Amino acid sequence: MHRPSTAGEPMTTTTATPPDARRAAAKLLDDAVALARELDRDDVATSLARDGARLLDPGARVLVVGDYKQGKSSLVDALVGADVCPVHADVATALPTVVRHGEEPSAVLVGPHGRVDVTPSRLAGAVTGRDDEPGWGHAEVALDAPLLADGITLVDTPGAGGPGGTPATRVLTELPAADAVLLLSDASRELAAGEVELLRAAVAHVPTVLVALTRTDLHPAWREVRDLDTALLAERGLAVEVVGVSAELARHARGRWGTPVGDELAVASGIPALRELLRRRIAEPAGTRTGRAVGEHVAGVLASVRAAPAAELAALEAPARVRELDEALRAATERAAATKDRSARWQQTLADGVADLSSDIEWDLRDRVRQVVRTAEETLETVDPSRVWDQFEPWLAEEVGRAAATTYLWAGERTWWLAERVAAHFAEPAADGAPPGTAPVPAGRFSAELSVLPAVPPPDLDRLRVGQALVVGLRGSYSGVVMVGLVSTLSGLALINPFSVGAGVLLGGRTVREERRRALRRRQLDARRVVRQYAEEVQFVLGKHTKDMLREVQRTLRDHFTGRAEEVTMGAAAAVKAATAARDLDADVRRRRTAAVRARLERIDGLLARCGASS
Amino acid sequence: MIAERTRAVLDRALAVYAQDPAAAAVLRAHRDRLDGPLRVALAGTLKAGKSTLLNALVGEQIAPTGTAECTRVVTTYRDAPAARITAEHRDGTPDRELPVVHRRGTLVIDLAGTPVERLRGLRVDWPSASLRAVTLVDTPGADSTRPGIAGRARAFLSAGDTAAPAEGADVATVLDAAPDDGADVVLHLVRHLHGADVAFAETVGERAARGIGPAGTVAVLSRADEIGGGRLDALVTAAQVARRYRADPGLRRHCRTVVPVAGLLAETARTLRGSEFAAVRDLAAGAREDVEDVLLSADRFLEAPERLVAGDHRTRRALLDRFGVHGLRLATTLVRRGAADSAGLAAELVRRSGLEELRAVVGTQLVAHGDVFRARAALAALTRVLRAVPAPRAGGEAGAAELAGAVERVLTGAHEFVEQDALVALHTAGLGGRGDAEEARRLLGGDGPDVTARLGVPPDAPAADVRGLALDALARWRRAGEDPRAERACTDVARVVVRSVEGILAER
Repeated sequence: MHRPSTAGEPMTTTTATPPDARRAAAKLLDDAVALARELDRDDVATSLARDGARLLDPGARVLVVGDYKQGKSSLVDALVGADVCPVHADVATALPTVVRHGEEPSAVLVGPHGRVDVTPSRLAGAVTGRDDEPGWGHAEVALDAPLLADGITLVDTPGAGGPGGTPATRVLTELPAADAVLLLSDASRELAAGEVELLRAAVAHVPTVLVALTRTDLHPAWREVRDLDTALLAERGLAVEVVGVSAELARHARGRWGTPVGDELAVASGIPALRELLRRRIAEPAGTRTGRAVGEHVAGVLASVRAAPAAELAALEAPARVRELDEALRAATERAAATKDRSARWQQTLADGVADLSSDIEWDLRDRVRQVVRTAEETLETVDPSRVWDQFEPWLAEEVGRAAATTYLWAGERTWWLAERVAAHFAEPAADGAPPGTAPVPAGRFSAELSVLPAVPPPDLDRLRVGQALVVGLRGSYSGVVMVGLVSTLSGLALINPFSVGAGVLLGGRTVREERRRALRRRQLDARRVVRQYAEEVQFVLGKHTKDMLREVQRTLRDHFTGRAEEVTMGAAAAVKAATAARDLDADVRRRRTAAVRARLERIDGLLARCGASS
Repeated sequence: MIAERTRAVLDRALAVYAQDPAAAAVLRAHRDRLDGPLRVALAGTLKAGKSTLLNALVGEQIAPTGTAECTRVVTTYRDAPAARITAEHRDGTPDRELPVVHRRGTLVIDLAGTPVERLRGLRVDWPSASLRAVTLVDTPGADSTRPGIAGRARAFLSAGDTAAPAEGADVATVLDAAPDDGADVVLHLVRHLHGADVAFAETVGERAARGIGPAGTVAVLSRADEIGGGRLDALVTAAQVARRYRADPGLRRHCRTVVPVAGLLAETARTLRGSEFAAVRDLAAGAREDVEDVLLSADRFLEAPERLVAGDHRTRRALLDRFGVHGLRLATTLVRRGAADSAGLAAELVRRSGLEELRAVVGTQLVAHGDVFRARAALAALTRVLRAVPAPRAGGEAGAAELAGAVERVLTGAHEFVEQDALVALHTAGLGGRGDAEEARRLLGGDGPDVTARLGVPPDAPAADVRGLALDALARWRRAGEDPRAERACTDVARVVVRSVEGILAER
């Protein structure tokens, strides 16, 4: 369904704004942690706080992509309403910039040698690639802006998807970690082939994809372009919404803030409408998703916490029905045992899964790289490497990068699948009628770091120089002169005579030609050696990298699910203890205790009801 | 010289291929072209402004322009006594003449329902002085999303590509797939050149200029008026950007030079109508703040109140389509500064659009060396024919072999080809001082092939002075060519320069 929105349309207000969903989730989490502390379940409180924070934290990542000089940085600035990303008429963004929410404004450069706080001017230098110290991976900027506070993180990327036709590998590898992609395209023209390719890849990996036509202020025909684009995308079956924006108008609007003209310009710029769209399409679903995940998580944990007071209350209210209580206790103990049992099973699933994944990824990468190497070797067989190396080297690096990126994308999908399979063990009907359904999976993001790829080493491409050729030729001609000369001396001629010189020239020429051919062959062999060496190096580096990443994934999943198993066991043990303690109490104490436990249970049930409401 | 030698080779080829009609047709076309105007192709990405620039160069609106993809067929515009539009068909159907229709000052090409897939090209004959020295060829966008169109542009531009045809391929198809009416030189239009080496090598070096070579390629930074948000100083910024690109050795490997042009501005200026000038003058008559406010965006201009902007939505839209927002900003400023009539405004707009610089570059660097580019294209076509038809009926295999040898001799023996390549290599060679590189460029014929242009003296300079200057240059460049400390690339260029100066002395 395409519902192209007009830049001129008034701002719409939605009923449930994302901040509400996120705020409600945060409040629920705080209350649950406080309650767990009160109940002396500090372990639960700590794990709740930790996992909950992880679920709450990651804002929706919006990848801002597009060809060079489409105004990506200007648009990011306009969206947050501040000058964050360096904008230049000529120099383009060279470093991805992550713009996220923060109470205090800050700018950080992140590279292989760590994180460094920097001044805005230094940041601008590094982002536009004019910094003296290269090698930064990305920049992070935090600031307090309404859109960011709603849980949206904007990622300004260097240009990609240009006329070349193939989207840059770097953007492709970022896709799995993104919640939305915003492609920027110039409002003066229809989408180009490269942009459509990028959109196709984005739609396959990312839930929300939007196209923003930039510079609508300069192009009166932008609405026609938008309709053409919408039709083009619909024709190709890509569900992508197209909107028009003008960062320049938004800049003017900021300059005349509060005046009627300023408001008019702001609306005409399309930026408020885009902001609203991002909120509605990205922040709000993300907020709801977060709310639901936190709700499920809290509900699961509270269910195990609830076991103890529930058992105690039963014992307090009906001390006579010891038999029933005993049964209940036995059930609790069994549940704990069952959880332990399950624990063995899920650990098995996880370990097997990671082992399978590790070997599959390695095989996949090896296979892809091998195909690249085969093509490369076939090419090198037919050409002179010294002539084509300039074009060959970037091609090789690009192809290998693409192979690695494809493997990473696939590995990311497989990791999620594994996590879901492990989570399924916990989804069996849990204790005390706790809501069934998949246990929340912690976000273990498997994203590629192509910066780790090594560079292609230069092969030895020396061509036969004139001087060398002369020496080689002389060697050949010398033997010719001597050979024929010696024979001809027998017939009374001098060693150097017309015949021997002629033979020398002939043999010399032949030797040079042969030497040339040999040199070409040597260059080809050397280039092939370099290609193979490079492929091995890449596999070595990436192998280590994927193994590390898998180990990290395994650790995250194990910690998460161990925590869940322990909570269930602890809940059962606490229930047994509480019920035993409740058995022999005198009447007065019992009455007071009953009231206290009932109140506690009511609070837990109240929270549980809120979990259900937010899910 | 080179033209004569090439013509001799082609004459011989025509005799050898006398009984192969397809091959002979190709060769005859190229032989005729040796005397004709230089064929300049306009290539580039989607909506880079190829047709707009073509109109600007001709000074008339003959190529259709618009929002949607306009040029879907390779269209040739050439000078002729009478206006005529011819559709050339792909499948051997005879050419068909299309009606010449004008609509609101613009030439309208009506294909009359023929699907573009069936067309090999369109030929527009148009009486125009601007088309006398050059024949302009408009091509579809190289990155079109419509299947087939991008491929057509590529096939056309790489006509000089001498890839061997597939085994058993029909001769006619091979020659048809690489049309005989390719271009001699390319103006490659780009919106920007970022990710310099990669993007540019891919768009220009790899596909477009294959066969034409960097010597015959001029990169045009089109739509220069939109750089940096279309502010008043956009063209100054564009000139700086172009200067930076020119200094970038990575780009210089792929083209002769980089020129910024505001295509739309140039087209409008060269075809400015009295009514349009009146509209701009009326607009500029308003208070400056109001005008600036109205011109903040296209939408604001279209919806401005009647007291600020005259005319209804349609006339405003027409004005906007002609000038663009930046053009209107610039034009109103110029009127306010004293451009009193239509001619004055047009002259000032042309000056600022960068069109004159582009025409100068085309004139001195491409048209002046036209012989070289035409010869190169013709010899490439002959090589292609030799591969497609290795055993001609009239000349036999021996004739073909002899012909191949003749082609090789012309290609390797001509100093003109070497000069053109050296002109490109010059910038990547890292030749000592800036002055040296500049002098080498001039001596190699960068400002024109005439002796005086090469030596940088006025055309009426006395012969003795010219000789003295040439001898002086010869001595200096000989030394540079033999400098043992210099890089190989530098000495190579220096030796070519020496050869050129020797040529000058021989000519005198």
